[in-house]
Parts: sequence; structure tokens; C-alpha cells
Amino acid sequence: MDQPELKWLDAYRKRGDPEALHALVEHSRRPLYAFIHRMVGNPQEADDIFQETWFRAIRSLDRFKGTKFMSWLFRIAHNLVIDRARKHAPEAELADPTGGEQDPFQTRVADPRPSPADQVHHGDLARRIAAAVDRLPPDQREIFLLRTEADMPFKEIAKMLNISINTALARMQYALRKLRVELQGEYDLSTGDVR
Amino acid sequence: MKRDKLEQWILMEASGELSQRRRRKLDRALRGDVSLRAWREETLALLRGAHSGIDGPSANTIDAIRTFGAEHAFSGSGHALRSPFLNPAWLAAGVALLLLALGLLFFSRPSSIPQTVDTGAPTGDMSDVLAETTLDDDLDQLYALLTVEEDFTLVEEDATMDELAHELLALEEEQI
Repeated sequence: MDQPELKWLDAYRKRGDPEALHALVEHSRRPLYAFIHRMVGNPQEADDIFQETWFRAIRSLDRFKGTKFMSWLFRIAHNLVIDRARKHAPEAELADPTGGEQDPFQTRVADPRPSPADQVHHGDLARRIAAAVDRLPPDQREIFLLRTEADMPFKEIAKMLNISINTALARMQYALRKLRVELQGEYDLSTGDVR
Repeated sequence: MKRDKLEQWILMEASGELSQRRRRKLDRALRGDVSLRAWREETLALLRGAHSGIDGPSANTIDAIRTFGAEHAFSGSGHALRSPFLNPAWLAAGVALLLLALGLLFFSRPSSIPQTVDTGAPTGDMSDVLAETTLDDDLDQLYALLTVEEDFTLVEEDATMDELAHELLALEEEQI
């Protein structure tokens, strides 16, 4: 697969080329920001995490040896989202009714209820799906967003999250089943028509 | 074939990760299963519709990253502009090569450097003198060669031919 980001990365690392860095940031801008935004549910925090993701990446470029730069960037963002959840919701962690058996990440993320902005716009399928996605458990939401917003294949998602590909696929299946139930009666998913 | 596995294959097909062999099996299963076909259509519609319209961070955030990147490349750890010759491995290799070259230069030097002293004595290779057929005739020449300076006389003025020859051999050995 052609990865233009590796060419830009090389130009920035070797010559400090500012245009190469700009191209890299632009390349990641929409998918990375959308992923972070949908995970934290707050544009200001999403901006901060996006910026910190890039600061950390720039500081650690010497340590990047692989070929999947975007996956590496998403992994940094994933860690920052988890850190942010730990800082913001320690009480949720203590209140985990499963006694820690459930993935603790599920209890630490942002309020999954649709934001006021989401509630105002109910005019199209994408917004309804987005609202339903926001209500997914975080581990399922993360897989769903990495697949749809970042267009990341399951193999890479599994590697990034340090889980098996079967686990990644299973979480995606659960997510789709829940979305189907949430959207049932509102849309005919096969056509996108309002019922 | 289990339904769960087929649903997973549909997901992998959508992400372009399904092998040809599995794709053929999935096609066969889809042909004979209406509900699986419906599941596939709905899934693909969901995936298509799930792409949010979120554009990106603010321009300020992008500017901050660019500024940070520029500062880091030029004054931070400097990794972006680091010459390969400042890399510790390259530097060590360079020093090792330099030492090796100096070592070779030192050991390939002649053990003694011939010194020429202007004594007014005849110059030339001693073999020229030794090649002479008449030893008596060249006794003076040999004497001149071996008495290089007034205060550095190797043989006495009245040295015999044997003494001269002995001193000559010793001098040659020294030069070798």
C-alpha cells in the first residue's frame, strides 16, 4: 500500500522540512481529530489531545522505526484518551459494578449521551448513526471509529490495541448489532430511507 | 458455516482483508441465505453512513503543531537536522578509521632515515666502490667514505684493508 506519509516523515526527520510536517499533519487532521472527538465528546478537549498527540509524536520521532505511521499516531492518541478518562472519572472507576472484571476503559470515558448539538440535528442518517455510536461502550466505539473514521483495517486495529483480530472483529459485530437495534424503526439501513 | 464467522468475513470483506478462498465461500453462503444478504447490505450502509462530518481541529491547533515542529527540528533535540556524521555510530567509525590510517602510516615508515652529511668526501653507493677490481687503487676512496667527519672517523688513517672492510660491513648493516 502506498504510504505518502513515510516520504513526508523522512523529509521532516532528515531536513526538518516544515512543508513535509505540514503535509503529515494535514494527512492526519480529519481522521485523527474525528476519532479523538468522537471518543472524548468535547471539541476543546479533542483539540488539546490532537495537539498533544502531535507534540509527543514529534518528540519521539527518533523512536518510530515501523512503516505504519498513522497507526503509531492513533496509538498515541488512544493512550492520551485513556489518560484523560483516568483523570476525569476516577469515581466511575471506583463505582465499577463488575468489580473490575469488565474492561475498566469502559467506565472511564466521556458521557456517551448525545451532545446538545447532536440532539438538534436529526436530519440525516450520519447524524443518527453518530448519536448511536456515541452510546456504544467505549471498547466497541473505539473499534468502530478506528474502522470507519480512520479507515484502519482490522489487522492494524488489533495490533494497535494489542488484542487479537478475532476480538477486534467480535467487538465490531457487537457494535453493529447494537447500532442496528438503536436505529431500528427509524431508518431502513439498506436504503437510508426514513420509515 | 457458523453465522458469526460469516458476519466477520463480511466485515473483513468490507475492509479488504478477506482472502480469495474465503470470499468464494462467503459468496456461496450469501447465495443461499437471504437474511445474511440483508445483514450484509445493512452493515455496508451503516459503515458508509458512519463517516462523520467532523472536519478537524482549529487553525490555532494546527499552527501550534507547526511551530512546535519547526522549533524542535532546529533547536530541540535537533534530530531532524542531525547530520549522519554526528550520529554516535558514524562518529566512532570515523575515529576508528582515522586511528587505523595513522597506525598504518607509522608502521610503514622506514626504520631509519638515511642522513646525508656534507663532508667533501666522494658520494655514491658503496657498491660502486666495492665493485672496483683493484682494491689497492680504491683504498683511498674507501677511507674517504668511512671518515665522514674530522671528529667522526671510523677508522685510523693507517688502517689495513681488513679493518676497512670490517668497518664497511658494519656501516652497511647499520644502514640496512
